[in-house]
Amino acid sequence: MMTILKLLVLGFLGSVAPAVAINIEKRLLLWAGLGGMLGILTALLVNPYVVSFSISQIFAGTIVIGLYSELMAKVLKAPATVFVIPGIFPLVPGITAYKTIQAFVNNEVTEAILLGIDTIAKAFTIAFGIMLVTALFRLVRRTRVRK
Amino acid sequence: MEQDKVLDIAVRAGSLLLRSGAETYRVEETIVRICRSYRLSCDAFVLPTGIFVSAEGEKGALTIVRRIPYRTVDLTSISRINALSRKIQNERPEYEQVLAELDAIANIKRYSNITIAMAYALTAFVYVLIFGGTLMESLAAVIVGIVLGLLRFFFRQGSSFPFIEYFAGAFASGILGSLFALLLEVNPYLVIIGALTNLVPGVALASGIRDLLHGDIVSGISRLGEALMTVFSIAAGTGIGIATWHLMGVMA
Repeated sequence: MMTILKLLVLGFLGSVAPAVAINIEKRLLLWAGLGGMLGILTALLVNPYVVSFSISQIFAGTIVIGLYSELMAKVLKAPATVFVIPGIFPLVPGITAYKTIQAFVNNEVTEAILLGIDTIAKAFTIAFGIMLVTALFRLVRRTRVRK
Repeated sequence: MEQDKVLDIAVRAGSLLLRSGAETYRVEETIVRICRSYRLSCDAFVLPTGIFVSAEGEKGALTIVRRIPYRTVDLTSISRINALSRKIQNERPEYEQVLAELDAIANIKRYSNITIAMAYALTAFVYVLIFGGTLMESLAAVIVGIVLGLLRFFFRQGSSFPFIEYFAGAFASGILGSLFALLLEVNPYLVIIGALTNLVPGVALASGIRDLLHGDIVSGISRLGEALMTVFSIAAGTGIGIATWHLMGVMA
Protein backbone atom coordinates (compact mmCIF):
# COMPACT_ATOMS: atom_id res chain seq x y z
CA MET A 1 0.00 0.00 0.00
CA MET A 2 2.75 2.40 0.95
CA THR A 3 4.64 1.72 -2.26
CA ILE A 4 1.50 2.38 -4.30
CA LEU A 5 0.93 5.67 -2.52
CA LYS A 6 4.57 6.58 -3.00
CA LEU A 7 4.36 5.76 -6.72
CA LEU A 8 1.22 7.88 -7.12
CA VAL A 9 2.96 10.89 -5.58
CA LEU A 10 6.00 10.21 -7.76
CA GLY A 11 3.77 9.91 -10.84
CA PHE A 12 2.25 13.29 -10.04
CA LEU A 13 5.64 14.96 -9.58
CA GLY A 14 7.05 13.02 -12.52
CA SER A 15 4.51 14.75 -14.76
CA VAL A 16 4.62 18.19 -13.15
CA ALA A 17 8.40 18.60 -13.23
CA PRO A 18 8.93 17.81 -16.94
CA ALA A 19 5.82 19.88 -17.75
CA VAL A 20 7.53 22.96 -16.29
CA ALA A 21 10.59 22.27 -18.42
CA ILE A 22 8.40 22.26 -21.55
CA ASN A 23 6.71 25.51 -20.52
CA ILE A 24 3.18 24.50 -19.57
CA GLU A 25 0.73 27.24 -18.54
CA LYS A 26 0.66 27.71 -14.76
CA ARG A 27 -3.12 27.22 -14.54
CA LEU A 28 -2.81 23.76 -16.13
CA LEU A 29 0.16 22.54 -14.11
CA LEU A 30 -1.72 20.66 -11.38
CA TRP A 31 -4.14 19.13 -13.90
CA ALA A 32 -1.25 17.83 -15.98
CA GLY A 33 0.22 16.24 -12.87
CA LEU A 34 -3.10 14.59 -12.06
CA GLY A 35 -3.02 13.00 -15.53
CA GLY A 36 0.36 11.44 -14.83
CA MET A 37 -0.93 10.14 -11.49
CA LEU A 38 -3.99 8.59 -13.15
CA GLY A 39 -1.76 6.87 -15.70
CA ILE A 40 0.38 5.29 -12.98
CA LEU A 41 -2.72 4.37 -10.95
CA THR A 42 -4.24 2.56 -13.93
CA ALA A 43 -0.99 0.73 -14.67
CA LEU A 44 -0.85 -0.39 -11.05
CA LEU A 45 -4.50 -1.49 -11.10
CA VAL A 46 -3.70 -3.77 -14.02
CA ASN A 47 -0.77 -5.30 -12.15
CA PRO A 48 0.30 -3.88 -8.78
CA TYR A 49 3.41 -6.03 -8.50
CA VAL A 50 5.38 -4.94 -11.54
CA VAL A 51 6.78 -1.41 -11.48
CA SER A 52 8.86 -1.55 -14.66
CA PHE A 53 5.74 -1.39 -16.74
CA SER A 54 4.68 -4.06 -19.24
CA ILE A 55 2.86 -3.45 -22.53
CA SER A 56 -0.61 -4.10 -21.09
CA GLN A 57 0.04 -1.77 -18.16
CA ILE A 58 1.26 0.96 -20.49
CA PHE A 59 -1.70 0.48 -22.82
CA ALA A 60 -4.28 0.75 -20.03
CA GLY A 61 -2.49 3.77 -18.56
CA THR A 62 -2.34 5.51 -21.92
CA ILE A 63 -6.02 4.97 -22.64
CA VAL A 64 -6.97 6.51 -19.30
CA ILE A 65 -4.59 9.43 -19.83
CA GLY A 66 -6.08 9.96 -23.29
CA LEU A 67 -9.66 10.01 -21.97
CA TYR A 68 -8.67 12.30 -19.11
CA SER A 69 -6.88 14.66 -21.51
CA GLU A 70 -9.84 14.91 -23.90
CA LEU A 71 -12.14 15.60 -20.96
CA MET A 72 -9.80 18.25 -19.53
CA ALA A 73 -9.38 19.79 -22.98
CA LYS A 74 -13.13 20.45 -23.00
CA VAL A 75 -13.31 21.70 -19.43
CA LEU A 76 -10.19 23.88 -19.37
CA LYS A 77 -10.25 24.99 -23.04
CA ALA A 78 -6.78 23.84 -24.06
CA PRO A 79 -5.67 21.27 -26.65
CA ALA A 80 -5.56 17.68 -25.38
CA THR A 81 -1.84 17.37 -26.21
CA VAL A 82 -1.04 19.73 -23.36
CA PHE A 83 -2.24 17.06 -20.93
CA VAL A 84 -1.16 14.03 -22.94
CA ILE A 85 2.56 14.86 -23.15
CA PRO A 86 3.20 15.34 -19.41
CA GLY A 87 0.77 12.53 -18.61
CA ILE A 88 2.56 9.84 -20.62
CA PHE A 89 5.97 10.94 -19.35
CA PRO A 90 6.10 8.37 -16.51
CA LEU A 91 5.13 5.62 -18.99
CA VAL A 92 7.55 6.50 -21.82
CA PRO A 93 10.19 3.75 -22.17
CA GLY A 94 13.10 6.14 -21.74
CA ILE A 95 15.21 3.73 -19.68
CA THR A 96 14.60 0.88 -22.09
CA ALA A 97 15.73 3.09 -24.97
CA TYR A 98 18.79 4.09 -23.01
CA LYS A 99 19.60 0.49 -22.03
CA THR A 100 19.29 -0.55 -25.68
CA ILE A 101 21.99 1.83 -26.81
CA GLN A 102 24.06 1.04 -23.73
CA ALA A 103 24.00 -2.62 -24.77
CA PHE A 104 24.98 -1.69 -28.33
CA VAL A 105 27.88 0.38 -27.01
CA ASN A 106 29.01 -2.54 -24.82
CA ASN A 107 28.90 -4.81 -27.89
CA GLU A 108 26.08 -6.97 -26.45
CA VAL A 109 24.20 -7.08 -29.75
CA THR A 110 21.67 -9.81 -28.91
CA GLU A 111 20.67 -8.06 -25.70
CA ALA A 112 20.47 -4.76 -27.59
CA ILE A 113 18.13 -6.17 -30.23
CA LEU A 114 15.81 -7.63 -27.59
CA LEU A 115 15.74 -4.34 -25.70
CA GLY A 116 15.29 -2.42 -28.95
CA ILE A 117 12.20 -4.40 -29.92
CA ASP A 118 10.86 -3.89 -26.40
CA THR A 119 11.38 -0.12 -26.68
CA ILE A 120 9.70 0.14 -30.07
CA ALA A 121 6.75 -1.97 -28.93
CA LYS A 122 6.24 0.17 -25.83
CA ALA A 123 6.52 3.42 -27.78
CA PHE A 124 3.99 2.09 -30.31
CA THR A 125 1.67 1.09 -27.48
CA ILE A 126 1.63 4.63 -26.12
CA ALA A 127 1.13 6.21 -29.52
CA PHE A 128 -1.55 3.70 -30.47
CA GLY A 129 -3.45 4.19 -27.20
CA ILE A 130 -3.50 7.95 -27.64
CA MET A 131 -4.49 7.63 -31.31
CA LEU A 132 -7.36 5.35 -30.41
CA VAL A 133 -8.85 7.84 -27.96
CA THR A 134 -8.29 10.80 -30.30
CA ALA A 135 -9.93 8.94 -33.19
CA LEU A 136 -12.90 8.00 -31.03
CA PHE A 137 -13.48 11.59 -29.92
CA ARG A 138 -13.18 12.88 -33.49
CA LEU A 139 -15.72 10.33 -34.66
CA VAL A 140 -18.18 11.33 -31.94
CA ARG A 141 -17.71 15.02 -32.72
CA ARG A 142 -18.24 14.48 -36.44
CA THR A 143 -21.43 12.46 -36.01
CA ARG A 144 -22.75 15.12 -33.65
CA VAL A 145 -22.06 17.88 -36.19
CA ARG A 146 -23.91 15.94 -38.90
CA LYS A 147 -27.04 15.70 -36.77
CA MET B 1 -8.69 40.75 -46.14
CA GLU B 2 -6.23 40.42 -49.03
CA GLN B 3 -4.91 37.06 -50.08
CA ASP B 4 -1.27 37.76 -49.17
CA LYS B 5 -2.17 38.99 -45.69
CA VAL B 6 -4.27 35.92 -44.95
CA LEU B 7 -1.46 33.68 -46.10
CA ASP B 8 1.00 35.69 -44.04
CA ILE B 9 -0.83 35.21 -40.73
CA ALA B 10 -1.59 31.57 -41.52
CA VAL B 11 2.09 30.80 -42.12
CA ARG B 12 3.20 32.85 -39.11
CA ALA B 13 0.82 30.95 -36.84
CA GLY B 14 1.89 27.65 -38.40
CA SER B 15 5.61 28.23 -38.01
CA LEU B 16 5.15 29.34 -34.40
CA LEU B 17 3.26 26.09 -33.75
CA LEU B 18 5.88 23.94 -35.44
CA ARG B 19 8.65 25.69 -33.52
CA SER B 20 6.78 24.87 -30.31
CA GLY B 21 6.86 21.16 -31.12
CA ALA B 22 3.26 20.67 -32.30
CA GLU B 23 2.41 17.62 -34.41
CA THR B 24 2.50 18.21 -38.16
CA TYR B 25 -1.19 17.45 -38.64
CA ARG B 26 -2.06 20.13 -36.07
CA VAL B 27 0.05 22.68 -37.99
CA GLU B 28 -1.56 21.74 -41.30
CA GLU B 29 -5.06 21.93 -39.82
CA THR B 30 -4.41 25.31 -38.24
CA ILE B 31 -3.08 26.83 -41.48
CA VAL B 32 -5.99 25.54 -43.52
CA ARG B 33 -8.49 26.62 -40.87
CA ILE B 34 -7.15 30.19 -40.79
CA CYS B 35 -7.21 30.46 -44.58
CA ARG B 36 -10.75 29.07 -44.78
CA SER B 37 -11.96 31.54 -42.15
CA TYR B 38 -11.11 34.34 -44.62
CA ARG B 39 -12.62 32.43 -47.56
CA LEU B 40 -9.27 31.50 -49.07
CA SER B 41 -8.76 27.98 -50.33
CA CYS B 42 -5.28 26.77 -49.53
CA ASP B 43 -3.23 23.63 -49.23
CA ALA B 44 -0.57 23.11 -46.59
CA PHE B 45 2.20 20.57 -46.56
CA VAL B 46 4.18 20.49 -43.35
CA LEU B 47 7.33 18.63 -42.42
CA PRO B 48 9.11 18.89 -39.07
CA THR B 49 11.70 21.12 -40.72
CA GLY B 50 9.59 23.30 -42.96
CA ILE B 51 6.20 24.58 -44.09
CA PHE B 52 4.89 24.81 -47.66
CA VAL B 53 1.63 26.64 -48.19
CA SER B 54 -0.01 27.54 -51.44
CA ALA B 55 -3.27 29.46 -51.93
CA GLU B 56 -5.27 30.30 -55.02
CA GLY B 57 -7.32 33.47 -54.95
CA GLU B 58 -8.23 36.43 -57.18
CA LYS B 59 -4.53 37.36 -57.51
CA GLY B 60 -3.60 33.93 -58.82
CA ALA B 61 -1.58 31.31 -57.02
CA LEU B 62 0.59 32.40 -54.11
CA THR B 63 3.07 30.17 -52.31
CA ILE B 64 5.12 30.57 -49.16
CA VAL B 65 7.89 28.24 -48.05
CA ARG B 66 9.15 28.65 -44.52
CA ARG B 67 12.16 26.80 -43.15
CA ILE B 68 12.07 25.83 -39.45
CA PRO B 69 15.65 25.55 -38.22
CA TYR B 70 15.00 24.46 -34.63
CA ARG B 71 12.20 23.06 -32.54
CA THR B 72 11.57 22.93 -28.82
CA VAL B 73 8.51 21.84 -26.88
CA ASP B 74 6.44 24.78 -25.63
CA LEU B 75 2.97 23.79 -24.46
CA THR B 76 1.89 27.37 -23.68
CA SER B 77 2.44 28.52 -27.25
CA ILE B 78 0.61 25.50 -28.63
CA SER B 79 -2.47 26.13 -26.53
CA ARG B 80 -2.45 29.91 -27.17
CA ILE B 81 -2.25 29.50 -30.93
CA ASN B 82 -4.97 26.90 -30.77
CA ALA B 83 -7.17 29.44 -28.99
CA LEU B 84 -6.20 32.16 -31.48
CA SER B 85 -7.08 30.02 -34.50
CA ARG B 86 -10.53 29.32 -33.03
CA LYS B 87 -10.98 33.03 -32.40
CA ILE B 88 -10.02 33.77 -36.02
CA GLN B 89 -12.55 31.20 -37.18
CA ASN B 90 -15.36 32.77 -35.16
CA GLU B 91 -14.63 36.51 -35.26
CA ARG B 92 -12.40 37.02 -38.32
CA PRO B 93 -10.35 39.86 -36.76
CA GLU B 94 -8.32 42.39 -38.78
CA TYR B 95 -4.76 41.70 -39.98
CA GLU B 96 -3.06 44.09 -37.52
CA GLN B 97 -4.93 42.63 -34.57
CA VAL B 98 -3.92 39.06 -35.44
CA LEU B 99 -0.32 40.15 -35.95
CA ALA B 100 -0.29 41.79 -32.52
CA GLU B 101 -1.64 38.63 -30.91
CA LEU B 102 0.91 36.44 -32.71
CA ASP B 103 3.68 38.76 -31.51
CA ALA B 104 2.36 38.51 -27.96
CA ILE B 105 2.43 34.70 -28.19
CA ALA B 106 5.98 34.72 -29.60
CA ASN B 107 7.16 36.87 -26.68
CA ILE B 108 5.23 34.99 -24.03
CA LYS B 109 6.57 34.97 -20.49
CA ARG B 110 8.39 31.74 -19.79
CA TYR B 111 9.45 30.12 -16.55
CA SER B 112 12.69 31.64 -15.24
CA ASN B 113 15.96 29.79 -15.78
CA ILE B 114 16.15 28.97 -12.07
CA THR B 115 12.68 27.43 -12.10
CA ILE B 116 13.58 25.28 -15.09
CA ALA B 117 16.81 24.13 -13.43
CA MET B 118 14.75 23.20 -10.36
CA ALA B 119 12.32 21.32 -12.60
CA TYR B 120 15.26 19.37 -14.07
CA ALA B 121 16.49 18.60 -10.56
CA LEU B 122 13.01 17.47 -9.44
CA THR B 123 12.62 15.27 -12.54
CA ALA B 124 15.96 13.60 -11.79
CA PHE B 125 15.00 13.12 -8.12
CA VAL B 126 11.58 11.64 -8.91
CA TYR B 127 12.68 9.27 -11.66
CA VAL B 128 15.54 7.77 -9.66
CA LEU B 129 12.93 6.90 -7.01
CA ILE B 130 10.52 5.53 -9.65
CA PHE B 131 13.31 3.33 -11.02
CA GLY B 132 13.81 1.98 -7.50
CA GLY B 133 16.80 4.02 -6.30
CA THR B 134 17.60 5.00 -2.73
CA LEU B 135 17.26 8.50 -1.30
CA MET B 136 21.03 9.00 -1.52
CA GLU B 137 20.98 8.11 -5.21
CA SER B 138 18.15 10.52 -5.96
CA LEU B 139 19.92 13.32 -4.11
CA ALA B 140 23.02 12.69 -6.20
CA ALA B 141 20.81 12.81 -9.29
CA VAL B 142 19.45 16.20 -8.19
CA ILE B 143 22.93 17.69 -8.57
CA VAL B 144 23.33 16.10 -12.00
CA GLY B 145 19.88 17.44 -12.93
CA ILE B 146 20.87 21.00 -11.97
CA VAL B 147 24.02 20.68 -14.10
CA LEU B 148 21.87 19.53 -17.04
CA GLY B 149 19.58 22.53 -16.52
CA LEU B 150 22.55 24.91 -16.54
CA LEU B 151 23.96 23.29 -19.69
CA ARG B 152 20.61 23.83 -21.36
CA PHE B 153 20.78 27.63 -20.99
CA PHE B 154 24.35 27.64 -22.12
CA PHE B 155 23.55 25.79 -25.34
CA ARG B 156 20.18 27.39 -26.09
CA GLN B 157 21.70 30.89 -26.08
CA GLY B 158 23.81 30.38 -29.18
CA SER B 159 22.30 28.34 -32.00
CA SER B 160 24.67 25.39 -31.98
CA PHE B 161 23.90 21.92 -33.27
CA PRO B 162 20.95 20.58 -31.26
CA PHE B 163 22.59 17.23 -30.59
CA ILE B 164 25.71 18.80 -28.98
CA GLU B 165 23.52 19.80 -26.03
CA TYR B 166 22.46 16.18 -25.49
CA PHE B 167 25.99 14.89 -25.94
CA ALA B 168 27.45 17.41 -23.47
CA GLY B 169 24.68 16.76 -20.94
CA ALA B 170 25.15 13.01 -21.13
CA PHE B 171 28.95 13.40 -20.93
CA ALA B 172 28.62 15.50 -17.76
CA SER B 173 26.18 12.94 -16.31
CA GLY B 174 28.60 10.11 -17.04
CA ILE B 175 31.46 11.86 -15.25
CA LEU B 176 29.34 13.08 -12.32
CA GLY B 177 27.64 9.69 -11.93
CA SER B 178 31.04 7.97 -11.69
CA LEU B 179 32.23 10.64 -9.25
CA PHE B 180 29.23 10.09 -6.97
CA ALA B 181 29.67 6.33 -7.22
CA LEU B 182 33.16 6.80 -5.80
CA LEU B 183 32.25 9.38 -3.15
CA LEU B 184 28.86 8.10 -1.94
CA GLU B 185 29.00 4.46 -3.03
CA VAL B 186 25.78 4.75 -5.04
CA ASN B 187 24.79 2.88 -8.19
CA PRO B 188 26.10 5.21 -10.93
CA TYR B 189 23.72 3.86 -13.60
CA LEU B 190 20.59 4.70 -11.60
CA VAL B 191 21.87 8.25 -10.99
CA ILE B 192 22.75 8.70 -14.66
CA ILE B 193 19.51 7.25 -16.04
CA GLY B 194 17.38 9.25 -13.60
CA ALA B 195 19.08 12.51 -14.51
CA LEU B 196 19.02 11.75 -18.24
CA THR B 197 15.23 11.30 -18.14
CA ASN B 198 15.31 15.06 -18.68
CA LEU B 199 16.89 14.60 -22.10
CA VAL B 200 15.27 11.37 -23.31
CA PRO B 201 13.23 12.12 -26.45
CA GLY B 202 9.91 10.73 -25.24
CA VAL B 203 7.91 13.44 -26.97
CA ALA B 204 9.66 12.97 -30.31
CA LEU B 205 9.28 9.19 -30.07
CA ALA B 206 5.57 9.30 -29.26
CA SER B 207 4.65 12.08 -31.69
CA GLY B 208 6.72 10.45 -34.44
CA ILE B 209 4.66 7.30 -34.16
CA ARG B 210 1.52 9.41 -33.88
CA ASP B 211 2.41 11.09 -37.17
CA LEU B 212 2.99 7.66 -38.73
CA LEU B 213 -0.37 6.34 -37.58
CA HIS B 214 -1.95 9.53 -38.90
CA GLY B 215 -0.54 8.79 -42.36
CA ASP B 216 2.07 11.60 -42.26
CA ILE B 217 4.75 9.11 -43.16
CA VAL B 218 7.55 11.53 -44.00
CA SER B 219 7.07 13.53 -40.80
CA GLY B 220 6.77 10.40 -38.71
CA ILE B 221 9.98 8.88 -40.02
CA SER B 222 11.92 12.13 -39.65
CA ARG B 223 10.75 12.56 -36.05
CA LEU B 224 11.77 8.99 -35.28
CA GLY B 225 15.12 9.78 -36.87
CA GLU B 226 15.42 12.79 -34.61
CA ALA B 227 14.59 10.66 -31.58
CA LEU B 228 17.12 8.02 -32.61
CA MET B 229 19.81 10.63 -33.16
CA THR B 230 19.09 12.12 -29.72
CA VAL B 231 19.29 8.72 -28.04
CA PHE B 232 22.56 8.02 -29.85
CA SER B 233 24.03 11.36 -28.74
CA ILE B 234 23.00 10.64 -25.16
CA ALA B 235 24.40 7.11 -25.20
CA ALA B 236 27.66 8.21 -26.83
CA GLY B 237 28.01 11.06 -24.32
CA THR B 238 27.43 8.79 -21.33
CA GLY B 239 29.74 6.09 -22.63
CA ILE B 240 32.56 8.53 -23.35
CA GLY B 241 31.98 10.25 -19.99
CA ILE B 242 32.29 6.99 -18.04
CA ALA B 243 35.31 5.94 -20.12
CA THR B 244 37.00 9.29 -19.52
CA TRP B 245 36.48 8.89 -15.77
CA HIS B 246 38.10 5.47 -15.79
CA LEU B 247 40.95 6.79 -17.92
CA MET B 248 41.58 9.56 -15.39
CA GLY B 249 41.58 6.91 -12.65
CA VAL B 250 44.19 4.90 -14.54
CA MET B 251 46.40 7.95 -15.06
CA ALA B 252 46.14 9.22 -11.49
